[in-house]
Amino acid sequence: MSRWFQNESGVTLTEILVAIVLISLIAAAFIPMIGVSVKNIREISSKNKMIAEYRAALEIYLAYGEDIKSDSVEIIKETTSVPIKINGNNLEWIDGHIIKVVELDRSTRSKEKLITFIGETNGNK
Amino acid sequence: MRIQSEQGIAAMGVVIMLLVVLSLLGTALWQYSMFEINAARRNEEYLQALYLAQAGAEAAKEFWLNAGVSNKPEGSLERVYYNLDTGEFQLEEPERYLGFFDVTIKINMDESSYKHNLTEIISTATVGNISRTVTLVTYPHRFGHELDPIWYEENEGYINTRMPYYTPYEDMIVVKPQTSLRFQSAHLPGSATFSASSILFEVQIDLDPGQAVVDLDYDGNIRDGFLYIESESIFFDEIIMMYAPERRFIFGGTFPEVKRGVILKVPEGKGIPGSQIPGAVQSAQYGRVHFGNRVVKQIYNWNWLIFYHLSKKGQETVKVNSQPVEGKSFYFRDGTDLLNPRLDSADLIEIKDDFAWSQFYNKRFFWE
Repeated sequence: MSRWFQNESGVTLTEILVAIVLISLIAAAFIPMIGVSVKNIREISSKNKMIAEYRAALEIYLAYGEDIKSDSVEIIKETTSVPIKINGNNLEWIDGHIIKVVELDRSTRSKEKLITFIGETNGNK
Repeated sequence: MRIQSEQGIAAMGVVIMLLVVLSLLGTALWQYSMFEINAARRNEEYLQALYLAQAGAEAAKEFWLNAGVSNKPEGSLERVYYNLDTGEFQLEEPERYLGFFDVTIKINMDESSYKHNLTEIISTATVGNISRTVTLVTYPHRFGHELDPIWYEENEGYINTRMPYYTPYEDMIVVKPQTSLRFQSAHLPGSATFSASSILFEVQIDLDPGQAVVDLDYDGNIRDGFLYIESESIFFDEIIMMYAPERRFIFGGTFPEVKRGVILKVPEGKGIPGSQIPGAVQSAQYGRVHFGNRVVKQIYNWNWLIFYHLSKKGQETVKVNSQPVEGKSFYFRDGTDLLNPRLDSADLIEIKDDFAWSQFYNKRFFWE
Protein backbone atom coordinates (compact mmCIF):
# COMPACT_ATOMS: atom_id res chain seq x y z
CA MET A 1 0.00 0.00 0.00
CA SER A 2 2.74 2.41 0.99
CA ARG A 3 4.63 1.50 -2.16
CA TRP A 4 1.52 2.34 -4.17
CA PHE A 5 1.49 5.81 -2.62
CA GLN A 6 5.24 6.23 -3.22
CA ASN A 7 4.85 5.31 -6.83
CA GLU A 8 5.56 8.45 -8.82
CA SER A 9 4.15 7.05 -12.02
CA GLY A 10 0.54 8.34 -11.28
CA VAL A 11 -2.60 7.25 -13.10
CA THR A 12 -3.66 7.66 -16.69
CA LEU A 13 -6.57 9.84 -17.80
CA THR A 14 -8.29 6.69 -19.06
CA GLU A 15 -8.04 5.13 -15.61
CA ILE A 16 -9.55 8.26 -14.07
CA LEU A 17 -12.37 8.31 -16.61
CA VAL A 18 -13.12 4.62 -16.05
CA ALA A 19 -13.13 5.20 -12.30
CA ILE A 20 -15.47 8.18 -12.66
CA VAL A 21 -17.86 6.17 -14.82
CA LEU A 22 -17.86 3.27 -12.34
CA ILE A 23 -18.40 5.58 -9.39
CA SER A 24 -21.19 7.37 -11.24
CA LEU A 25 -22.88 4.07 -11.99
CA ILE A 26 -22.76 2.98 -8.37
CA ALA A 27 -23.89 6.43 -7.18
CA ALA A 28 -26.69 6.35 -9.72
CA ALA A 29 -27.97 3.22 -7.99
CA PHE A 30 -27.97 4.89 -4.58
CA ILE A 31 -29.41 8.28 -5.47
CA PRO A 32 -32.87 6.96 -6.46
CA MET A 33 -32.80 4.81 -3.33
CA ILE A 34 -32.35 7.96 -1.27
CA GLY A 35 -35.07 9.68 -3.25
CA VAL A 36 -37.52 6.79 -2.77
CA SER A 37 -36.68 6.58 0.93
CA VAL A 38 -37.33 10.28 1.45
CA LYS A 39 -40.64 9.94 -0.45
CA ASN A 40 -41.58 6.90 1.65
CA ILE A 41 -40.85 8.72 4.88
CA ARG A 42 -43.04 11.63 3.78
CA GLU A 43 -45.88 9.26 2.86
CA ILE A 44 -45.61 7.36 6.13
CA SER A 45 -45.82 10.57 8.08
CA SER A 46 -48.99 11.45 6.23
CA LYS A 47 -50.34 7.91 6.66
CA ASN A 48 -49.73 8.00 10.42
CA LYS A 49 -51.61 11.28 10.53
CA MET A 50 -54.49 9.68 8.64
CA ILE A 51 -54.56 6.66 11.00
CA ALA A 52 -54.84 9.07 13.94
CA GLU A 53 -57.69 10.78 12.09
CA TYR A 54 -59.52 7.47 11.47
CA ARG A 55 -59.24 6.60 15.11
CA ALA A 56 -60.42 10.02 16.27
CA ALA A 57 -63.40 9.84 13.91
CA LEU A 58 -64.38 6.40 15.16
CA GLU A 59 -63.94 7.23 18.83
CA ILE A 60 -66.01 10.42 18.51
CA TYR A 61 -68.71 8.47 16.70
CA LEU A 62 -68.76 5.70 19.31
CA ALA A 63 -68.83 8.16 22.20
CA TYR A 64 -71.23 10.77 20.89
CA GLY A 65 -72.84 9.32 17.77
CA GLU A 66 -71.48 12.23 15.76
CA ASP A 67 -69.83 11.95 12.39
CA ILE A 68 -67.00 14.48 12.21
CA LYS A 69 -67.11 16.43 9.00
CA SER A 70 -63.91 15.96 7.07
CA ASP A 71 -62.78 15.98 3.45
CA SER A 72 -60.80 12.83 3.93
CA VAL A 73 -62.74 10.62 6.36
CA GLU A 74 -66.34 9.49 6.52
CA ILE A 75 -68.26 7.24 8.92
CA ILE A 76 -70.66 4.73 7.42
CA LYS A 77 -73.19 2.87 9.57
CA GLU A 78 -74.77 -0.24 8.06
CA THR A 79 -77.29 -2.64 9.56
CA THR A 80 -75.91 -6.13 10.01
CA SER A 81 -76.00 -9.26 12.16
CA VAL A 82 -73.23 -11.19 13.86
CA PRO A 83 -73.56 -14.99 14.10
CA ILE A 84 -73.12 -16.34 17.61
CA LYS A 85 -72.74 -20.00 18.40
CA ILE A 86 -71.80 -21.14 21.88
CA ASN A 87 -71.24 -24.59 23.39
CA GLY A 88 -72.69 -26.31 20.31
CA ASN A 89 -76.04 -24.58 20.79
CA ASN A 90 -78.16 -23.25 17.95
CA LEU A 91 -76.86 -20.41 15.85
CA GLU A 92 -78.16 -17.01 16.92
CA TRP A 93 -77.86 -13.73 15.07
CA ILE A 94 -77.13 -10.56 17.00
CA ASP A 95 -78.58 -7.53 15.27
CA GLY A 96 -76.61 -4.33 15.19
CA HIS A 97 -74.58 -2.02 13.02
CA ILE A 98 -71.20 -2.17 11.35
CA ILE A 99 -69.42 1.13 11.76
CA LYS A 100 -66.88 1.75 9.01
CA VAL A 101 -64.33 4.51 8.80
CA VAL A 102 -63.88 5.20 5.11
CA GLU A 103 -61.03 7.14 3.58
CA LEU A 104 -62.27 9.47 0.87
CA ASP A 105 -59.53 9.36 -1.72
CA ARG A 106 -60.23 11.62 -4.68
CA SER A 107 -57.86 9.84 -7.03
CA THR A 108 -59.12 6.32 -6.34
CA ARG A 109 -62.25 4.79 -4.90
CA SER A 110 -63.15 5.08 -1.21
CA LYS A 111 -61.31 2.65 1.04
CA GLU A 112 -62.54 1.09 4.29
CA LYS A 113 -59.95 1.72 6.93
CA LEU A 114 -61.40 0.70 10.32
CA ILE A 115 -64.36 -1.52 11.06
CA THR A 116 -66.22 -2.27 14.27
CA PHE A 117 -69.66 -3.41 15.43
CA ILE A 118 -72.17 -2.05 17.90
CA GLY A 119 -75.21 -3.95 19.08
CA GLU A 120 -78.80 -2.94 18.38
CA THR A 121 -79.30 -1.73 21.96
CA ASN A 122 -76.22 0.42 21.86
CA GLY A 123 -76.77 1.75 18.37
CA ASN A 124 -80.36 2.80 18.93
CA LYS A 125 -79.89 4.67 22.14
CA MET B 1 0.41 9.95 -20.53
CA ARG B 2 0.18 9.56 -16.79
CA ILE B 3 -1.18 12.02 -14.25
CA GLN B 4 1.67 12.57 -11.90
CA SER B 5 -0.03 14.89 -9.51
CA GLU B 6 -0.91 13.61 -6.05
CA GLN B 7 -4.03 15.80 -6.23
CA GLY B 8 -5.57 13.23 -8.55
CA ILE B 9 -5.12 10.48 -6.02
CA ALA B 10 -6.52 12.70 -3.27
CA ALA B 11 -9.52 13.53 -5.42
CA MET B 12 -10.08 9.83 -6.02
CA GLY B 13 -9.97 9.23 -2.25
CA VAL B 14 -12.50 11.96 -1.65
CA VAL B 15 -14.79 10.55 -4.31
CA ILE B 16 -14.55 7.04 -2.84
CA MET B 17 -15.25 8.47 0.61
CA LEU B 18 -18.28 10.30 -0.76
CA LEU B 19 -19.42 7.12 -2.40
CA VAL B 20 -19.14 5.21 0.87
CA VAL B 21 -20.98 7.95 2.78
CA LEU B 22 -23.62 8.13 0.07
CA SER B 23 -24.15 4.38 0.09
CA LEU B 24 -24.28 4.26 3.89
CA LEU B 25 -26.74 7.16 3.95
CA GLY B 26 -28.82 5.57 1.23
CA THR B 27 -28.90 2.20 2.97
CA ALA B 28 -29.74 3.75 6.33
CA LEU B 29 -32.51 5.84 4.83
CA TRP B 30 -33.86 2.81 2.99
CA GLN B 31 -33.80 0.71 6.15
CA TYR B 32 -35.48 3.48 8.08
CA SER B 33 -38.20 3.96 5.51
CA MET B 34 -38.82 0.19 5.37
CA PHE B 35 -39.03 0.07 9.15
CA GLU B 36 -41.47 2.96 9.15
CA ILE B 37 -43.59 1.33 6.44
CA ASN B 38 -43.82 -1.87 8.49
CA ALA B 39 -44.52 0.10 11.65
CA ALA B 40 -47.34 2.00 9.95
CA ARG B 41 -48.81 -1.24 8.59
CA ARG B 42 -48.54 -2.86 12.03
CA ASN B 43 -50.07 0.23 13.60
CA GLU B 44 -53.03 0.00 11.25
CA GLU B 45 -53.45 -3.74 11.95
CA TYR B 46 -52.99 -3.12 15.66
CA LEU B 47 -55.79 -0.56 15.60
CA GLN B 48 -58.05 -2.70 13.44
CA ALA B 49 -57.46 -5.68 15.73
CA LEU B 50 -58.52 -3.53 18.69
CA TYR B 51 -61.79 -2.49 17.04
CA LEU B 52 -62.46 -6.00 15.79
CA ALA B 53 -61.94 -7.31 19.33
CA GLN B 54 -64.35 -4.64 20.54
CA ALA B 55 -66.83 -5.76 17.87
CA GLY B 56 -66.66 -9.33 19.22
CA ALA B 57 -67.12 -8.14 22.79
CA GLU B 58 -70.04 -5.92 21.77
CA ALA B 59 -71.78 -8.80 20.00
CA ALA B 60 -71.26 -11.08 23.01
CA LYS B 61 -72.49 -8.33 25.34
CA GLU B 62 -75.67 -7.95 23.31
CA PHE B 63 -76.09 -11.73 23.34
CA TRP B 64 -75.66 -11.76 27.12
CA LEU B 65 -78.05 -8.85 27.68
CA ASN B 66 -80.72 -10.47 25.50
CA ALA B 67 -80.59 -13.72 27.47
CA GLY B 68 -82.95 -14.22 30.42
CA VAL B 69 -81.73 -13.55 33.95
CA SER B 70 -81.52 -17.24 34.77
CA ASN B 71 -80.17 -18.23 31.37
CA LYS B 72 -77.03 -16.17 30.94
CA PRO B 73 -74.59 -17.73 28.44
CA GLU B 74 -71.15 -18.97 29.51
CA GLY B 75 -68.37 -20.55 27.48
CA SER B 76 -66.43 -19.98 24.26
CA LEU B 77 -68.09 -18.65 21.16
CA GLU B 78 -67.21 -20.06 17.77
CA ARG B 79 -64.70 -18.00 15.79
CA VAL B 80 -66.27 -15.21 13.72
CA TYR B 81 -64.61 -13.83 10.54
CA TYR B 82 -65.16 -10.52 8.79
CA ASN B 83 -65.49 -11.23 5.08
CA LEU B 84 -63.86 -8.50 2.99
CA ASP B 85 -65.81 -9.42 -0.16
CA THR B 86 -69.30 -9.42 1.35
CA GLY B 87 -68.67 -6.98 4.20
CA GLU B 88 -70.42 -9.39 6.61
CA PHE B 89 -69.51 -11.37 9.69
CA GLN B 90 -69.61 -15.15 9.28
CA LEU B 91 -68.56 -18.39 10.98
CA GLU B 92 -67.01 -20.10 7.94
CA GLU B 93 -63.50 -19.00 6.98
CA PRO B 94 -63.84 -16.90 3.81
CA GLU B 95 -61.24 -16.60 1.03
CA ARG B 96 -60.49 -12.98 1.81
CA TYR B 97 -61.00 -11.75 5.32
CA LEU B 98 -59.97 -8.75 7.36
CA GLY B 99 -59.53 -10.78 10.53
CA PHE B 100 -61.43 -12.82 13.08
CA PHE B 101 -62.37 -12.76 16.74
CA ASP B 102 -62.66 -15.39 19.47
CA VAL B 103 -64.82 -14.60 22.50
CA THR B 104 -65.16 -16.24 25.89
CA ILE B 105 -67.88 -15.40 28.41
CA LYS B 106 -67.17 -16.49 31.95
CA ILE B 107 -67.99 -15.72 35.56
CA ASN B 108 -64.97 -14.83 37.62
CA MET B 109 -64.80 -17.42 40.40
CA ASP B 110 -61.65 -16.11 42.05
CA GLU B 111 -62.75 -15.16 45.55
CA SER B 112 -59.69 -13.00 46.12
CA SER B 113 -60.46 -10.90 43.06
CA TYR B 114 -62.51 -7.74 43.19
CA LYS B 115 -64.25 -9.16 40.13
CA HIS B 116 -65.48 -12.19 42.04
CA ASN B 117 -68.87 -13.31 40.71
CA LEU B 118 -68.82 -10.70 37.94
CA THR B 119 -69.22 -11.72 34.31
CA GLU B 120 -66.26 -11.18 32.00
CA ILE B 121 -66.39 -11.10 28.24
CA ILE B 122 -62.90 -11.65 26.84
CA SER B 123 -62.55 -11.01 23.14
CA THR B 124 -59.36 -11.59 21.14
CA ALA B 125 -59.14 -10.44 17.53
CA THR B 126 -56.45 -11.22 14.99
CA VAL B 127 -55.69 -9.06 11.98
CA GLY B 128 -52.68 -10.12 9.90
CA ASN B 129 -50.04 -11.04 12.44
CA ILE B 130 -51.40 -8.86 15.19
CA SER B 131 -53.68 -10.08 17.98
CA ARG B 132 -55.34 -7.93 20.59
CA THR B 133 -57.54 -8.75 23.54
CA VAL B 134 -60.17 -6.62 25.23
CA THR B 135 -62.24 -7.46 28.31
CA LEU B 136 -65.69 -6.30 29.31
CA VAL B 137 -66.70 -6.73 32.96
CA THR B 138 -70.21 -6.41 34.29
CA TYR B 139 -70.82 -3.45 36.45
CA PRO B 140 -71.45 -4.80 39.94
CA HIS B 141 -75.14 -3.94 39.73
CA ARG B 142 -77.90 -5.75 41.52
CA PHE B 143 -81.39 -6.74 40.50
CA GLY B 144 -84.36 -5.29 42.33
CA HIS B 145 -85.47 -8.79 43.36
CA GLU B 146 -82.14 -9.38 45.11
CA LEU B 147 -82.43 -6.37 47.40
CA ASP B 148 -83.48 -6.34 50.99
CA PRO B 149 -86.37 -5.69 51.25
CA ILE B 150 -87.10 -6.99 47.79
CA TRP B 151 -88.78 -4.63 45.35
CA TYR B 152 -90.77 -7.30 43.51
CA GLU B 153 -91.30 -11.03 43.27
CA GLU B 154 -88.93 -12.36 40.63
CA ASN B 155 -91.03 -15.07 38.97
CA GLU B 156 -94.44 -13.37 38.92
CA GLY B 157 -93.29 -9.76 38.74
CA TYR B 158 -95.57 -8.67 41.61
CA ILE B 159 -94.56 -5.32 43.09
CA ASN B 160 -93.91 -5.60 46.79
CA THR B 161 -96.40 -3.12 48.27
CA ARG B 162 -95.93 -4.41 51.78
CA MET B 163 -92.56 -2.77 52.18
CA PRO B 164 -92.60 -0.76 55.39
CA TYR B 165 -89.67 1.25 54.11
CA TYR B 166 -87.30 1.35 51.19
CA THR B 167 -83.57 1.70 51.02
CA PRO B 168 -82.15 4.24 48.59
CA TYR B 169 -79.37 2.44 46.74
CA GLU B 170 -76.38 4.36 45.49
CA ASP B 171 -75.65 2.17 42.49
CA MET B 172 -77.63 1.26 39.39
CA ILE B 173 -80.42 -1.21 40.08
CA VAL B 174 -81.77 -3.37 37.27
CA VAL B 175 -85.43 -4.35 37.37
CA LYS B 176 -85.93 -7.62 35.54
CA PRO B 177 -88.51 -10.10 36.77
CA GLN B 178 -89.37 -13.08 34.59
CA THR B 179 -92.56 -11.39 33.45
CA SER B 180 -94.06 -7.88 33.41
CA LEU B 181 -93.84 -5.82 36.56
CA ARG B 182 -97.37 -5.47 38.00
CA PHE B 183 -99.57 -5.11 41.04
CA GLN B 184 -100.72 -8.38 42.54
CA SER B 185 -104.16 -7.13 43.54
CA ALA B 186 -106.52 -5.67 40.96
CA HIS B 187 -108.75 -4.29 43.66
CA LEU B 188 -106.41 -2.92 46.33
CA PRO B 189 -103.05 -2.55 44.67
CA GLY B 190 -101.32 -0.32 47.20
CA SER B 191 -98.19 1.63 46.35
CA ALA B 192 -94.46 1.12 46.29
CA THR B 193 -91.34 3.20 45.92
CA PHE B 194 -88.19 2.09 44.15
CA SER B 195 -85.23 4.26 44.99
CA ALA B 196 -81.69 4.18 43.59
CA SER B 197 -79.30 6.58 41.92
CA SER B 198 -80.14 4.95 38.60
CA ILE B 199 -82.83 2.43 37.74
CA LEU B 200 -83.06 0.37 34.58
CA PHE B 201 -86.29 -1.43 33.70
CA GLU B 202 -85.65 -4.33 31.36
CA VAL B 203 -89.28 -5.39 31.30
CA GLN B 204 -92.66 -3.83 30.70
CA ILE B 205 -94.46 -2.17 33.62
CA ASP B 206 -98.08 -3.24 33.30
CA LEU B 207 -100.33 -1.56 35.87
CA ASP B 208 -103.52 -2.27 33.92
CA PRO B 209 -105.48 -4.89 35.86
CA GLY B 210 -107.34 -5.73 32.63
CA GLN B 211 -110.09 -8.30 32.85
CA ALA B 212 -109.65 -8.63 36.59
CA VAL B 213 -110.99 -5.14 37.20
CA VAL B 214 -113.60 -5.32 34.45
CA ASP B 215 -115.08 -8.29 36.25
CA LEU B 216 -114.93 -6.50 39.55
CA ASP B 217 -118.19 -6.01 41.33
CA TYR B 218 -117.76 -2.62 42.97
CA ASP B 219 -118.01 -2.81 46.71
CA GLY B 220 -116.92 0.73 47.44
CA ASN B 221 -113.41 -0.34 48.23
CA ILE B 222 -111.39 0.02 45.02
CA ARG B 223 -108.14 1.97 45.42
CA ASP B 224 -105.51 3.78 43.44
CA GLY B 225 -102.11 2.23 42.92
CA PHE B 226 -98.90 4.08 42.26
CA LEU B 227 -95.40 3.02 41.54
CA TYR B 228 -93.02 5.76 42.66
CA ILE B 229 -89.65 5.72 40.96
CA GLU B 230 -87.20 7.84 42.87
CA SER B 231 -83.99 8.23 40.91
CA GLU B 232 -81.79 10.68 39.05
CA SER B 233 -81.55 8.48 35.93
CA ILE B 234 -84.37 6.20 34.87
CA PHE B 235 -84.56 3.93 31.83
CA PHE B 236 -87.94 2.50 31.02
CA ASP B 237 -89.01 -0.19 28.62
CA GLU B 238 -92.79 -0.12 28.05
CA ILE B 239 -95.30 1.36 30.50
CA ILE B 240 -99.01 0.56 30.58
CA MET B 241 -101.08 2.50 33.11
CA MET B 242 -104.77 2.67 33.91
CA TYR B 243 -107.21 5.51 34.42
CA ALA B 244 -110.95 5.71 35.08
CA PRO B 245 -112.58 9.11 35.60
CA GLU B 246 -115.06 9.77 38.38
CA ARG B 247 -118.69 9.17 37.37
CA ARG B 248 -121.94 10.20 38.97
CA PHE B 249 -125.04 8.08 38.30
CA ILE B 250 -128.46 9.61 38.77
CA PHE B 251 -129.67 6.78 40.96
CA GLY B 252 -126.48 5.14 42.10
CA GLY B 253 -124.30 7.81 43.66
CA THR B 254 -120.72 8.75 42.74
CA PHE B 255 -118.04 6.35 41.67
CA PRO B 256 -114.44 7.39 42.27
CA GLU B 257 -111.65 8.25 39.91
CA VAL B 258 -109.29 5.24 39.72
CA LYS B 259 -105.61 5.60 38.89
CA ARG B 260 -102.85 3.08 38.45
CA GLY B 261 -99.79 5.04 37.41
CA VAL B 262 -96.10 5.79 37.64
CA ILE B 263 -94.78 8.84 39.44
CA LEU B 264 -91.23 10.04 38.95
CA LYS B 265 -89.36 11.52 41.87
CA VAL B 266 -85.92 13.02 42.35
CA PRO B 267 -84.08 11.85 45.49
CA GLU B 268 -83.79 14.55 48.12
CA GLY B 269 -80.76 16.76 47.62
CA LYS B 270 -80.00 15.18 44.25
CA GLY B 271 -80.80 15.96 40.62
CA ILE B 272 -80.30 19.00 38.41
CA PRO B 273 -81.64 22.41 39.47
CA GLY B 274 -84.29 23.76 37.10
CA SER B 275 -82.26 26.95 36.76
CA GLN B 276 -79.75 24.99 34.69
CA ILE B 277 -82.33 23.65 32.22
CA PRO B 278 -83.86 25.92 29.58
CA GLY B 279 -87.63 26.03 29.91
CA ALA B 280 -87.67 24.37 33.34
CA VAL B 281 -89.22 25.59 36.57
CA GLN B 282 -86.36 27.44 38.25
CA SER B 283 -87.10 26.30 41.79
CA ALA B 284 -87.71 22.62 40.92
CA GLN B 285 -85.28 19.71 40.86
CA TYR B 286 -85.03 17.52 37.77
CA GLY B 287 -83.86 14.03 36.94
CA ARG B 288 -83.45 12.31 33.56
CA VAL B 289 -85.63 9.65 32.06
CA HIS B 290 -85.47 7.63 28.85
CA PHE B 291 -88.55 5.91 27.44
CA GLY B 292 -87.32 2.99 25.38
CA ASN B 293 -90.81 1.95 24.35
CA ARG B 294 -94.39 3.24 24.34
CA VAL B 295 -96.10 4.77 27.37
CA VAL B 296 -99.87 4.32 27.33
CA LYS B 297 -102.84 4.53 29.65
CA GLN B 298 -105.83 2.24 29.38
CA ILE B 299 -108.99 4.26 29.88
CA TYR B 300 -111.92 2.69 31.75
CA ASN B 301 -115.44 3.95 32.41
CA TRP B 302 -117.85 3.22 35.23
CA ASN B 303 -120.93 1.50 33.85
CA TRP B 304 -124.04 -0.13 35.15
CA LEU B 305 -125.36 -3.42 33.94
CA ILE B 306 -127.09 -5.32 36.74
CA PHE B 307 -124.20 -4.14 38.93
CA TYR B 308 -121.71 -1.27 38.75
CA HIS B 309 -118.45 -2.15 37.10
CA LEU B 310 -115.56 -0.72 35.12
CA SER B 311 -115.42 -1.33 31.38
CA LYS B 312 -112.56 -0.67 29.05
CA LYS B 313 -113.05 2.37 26.83
CA GLY B 314 -109.80 2.64 24.90
CA GLN B 315 -106.15 3.52 25.05
CA GLU B 316 -104.30 6.84 25.09
CA THR B 317 -100.65 7.37 24.36
CA VAL B 318 -98.77 9.67 26.69
CA LYS B 319 -97.48 12.58 24.63
CA VAL B 320 -95.34 15.63 25.13
CA ASN B 321 -95.92 18.49 22.69
CA SER B 322 -98.26 16.20 20.71
CA GLN B 323 -95.50 13.64 20.19
CA PRO B 324 -95.33 10.20 21.85
CA VAL B 325 -92.52 9.98 24.38
CA GLU B 326 -91.38 6.63 23.02
CA GLY B 327 -87.67 6.46 22.15
CA LYS B 328 -86.93 9.87 23.67
CA SER B 329 -85.15 11.22 26.70
CA PHE B 330 -86.45 13.95 29.00
CA TYR B 331 -85.61 15.96 32.06
CA PHE B 332 -88.40 15.17 34.50
CA ARG B 333 -89.59 17.38 37.29
CA ASP B 334 -89.74 15.96 40.80
CA GLY B 335 -93.23 14.52 41.26
CA THR B 336 -94.11 14.05 37.58
CA ASP B 337 -97.22 11.92 37.21
CA LEU B 338 -96.89 9.98 33.95
CA LEU B 339 -100.65 9.53 33.80
CA ASN B 340 -100.92 13.23 33.21
CA PRO B 341 -97.65 15.11 32.67
CA ARG B 342 -98.28 18.85 32.96
CA LEU B 343 -96.60 20.56 30.06
CA ASP B 344 -97.43 24.03 31.36
CA SER B 345 -95.54 23.17 34.53
CA ALA B 346 -92.61 21.79 32.53
CA ASP B 347 -92.87 18.25 33.92
CA LEU B 348 -91.08 16.71 30.95
CA ILE B 349 -88.54 18.66 28.89
CA GLU B 350 -87.06 16.80 25.97
CA ILE B 351 -83.30 16.28 25.88
CA LYS B 352 -82.59 16.83 22.21
CA ASP B 353 -79.05 15.48 22.06
CA ASP B 354 -79.35 12.54 24.40
CA PHE B 355 -76.93 10.05 22.84
CA ALA B 356 -74.02 10.55 25.22
CA TRP B 357 -76.22 10.42 28.30
CA SER B 358 -78.26 7.45 27.14
CA GLN B 359 -75.00 5.52 26.73
CA PHE B 360 -75.28 5.12 30.48
CA TYR B 361 -77.87 2.51 29.66
CA ASN B 362 -75.06 0.28 28.47
CA LYS B 363 -72.95 0.76 31.54
CA ARG B 364 -73.80 -2.66 32.78
CA PHE B 365 -70.42 -3.53 31.34
CA PHE B 366 -67.15 -1.67 31.56
CA TRP B 367 -64.13 -1.94 29.28
CA GLU B 368 -61.05 -3.13 31.03
